[in-house]
Amino acid sequence: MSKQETYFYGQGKVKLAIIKPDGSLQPWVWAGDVSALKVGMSEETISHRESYSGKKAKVREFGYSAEASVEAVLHSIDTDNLALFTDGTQTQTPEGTVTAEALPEITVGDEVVLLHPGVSEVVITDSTSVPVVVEVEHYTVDPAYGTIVFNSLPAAVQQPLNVAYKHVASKQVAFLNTTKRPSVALRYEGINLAENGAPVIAEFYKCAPSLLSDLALITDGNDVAGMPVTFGVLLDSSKPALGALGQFGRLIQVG
Amino acid sequence: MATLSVKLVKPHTHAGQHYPAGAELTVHETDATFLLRAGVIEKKPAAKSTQQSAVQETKNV
Repeated sequence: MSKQETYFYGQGKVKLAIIKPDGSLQPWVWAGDVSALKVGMSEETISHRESYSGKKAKVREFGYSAEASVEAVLHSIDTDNLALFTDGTQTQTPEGTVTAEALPEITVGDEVVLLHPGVSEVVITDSTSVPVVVEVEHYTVDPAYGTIVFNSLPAAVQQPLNVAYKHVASKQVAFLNTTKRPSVALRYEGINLAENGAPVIAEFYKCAPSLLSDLALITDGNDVAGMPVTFGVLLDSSKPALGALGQFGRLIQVG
Repeated sequence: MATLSVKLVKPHTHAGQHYPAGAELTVHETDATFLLRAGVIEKKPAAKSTQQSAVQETKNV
């Protein structure tokens, strides 16, 4: 029986699971849209050329220290993905209210940044014993970013000014804030468009995410921003050295 | 100055300090009005006069 030719045109989902210290996996999390996923393998080689024929022909070559890496371009530039590739720590702030947030000494034209973005119902008062409300005509609030620009000031205002406001919930990632970068398992659930959408699965059991080298926050051109990331594929010694799974990863043709 | 003692029904941040629901604060009337409108307190008590400008925190954290 002759081999039938097949082709590949891949789409699909990339999922990541953080490997816990005991070796078990946290739940798989879809990394969002990934526009490129590429596996590269390399090795060191030892070769020898003979010196007896006058041709200096290569007579031996063999490899060692084989290794693999995975490169991907992620388009979900969110706190989950950023935390993984920036040694980041995530925190969430629930919606809430603030009163008596003191501003620095204000002069006309100043812009101040509140402690929370996503603000509403802003009220500014001065510091007199019976605080006087600063009329809204004196300032402009950018609610989404939590900033206030003072276009003017009342004649007899006593500083510091204090702000009261509501804010929405938010989540953040603090960059380079941990030295405990976790290893992850990577799973590709692919769709081979060249073969009627045949499913294909690739798994890499233990990967070391690299630190993010390119985070484009001002986007140019006619495509959305991507976040190129790299994973070093590590030996998963929890799997048997001679087992069917191997110790680095595998590709499964389903059906 | 006119201050009010209010009891929070939701968590709230005042002067940089976070207070849980159930805490009692002494705030200026303008802040009390804001808190009532925001649903952080259920009622605004009558104003009282005090020399203290600092917020008093109920020890229920």
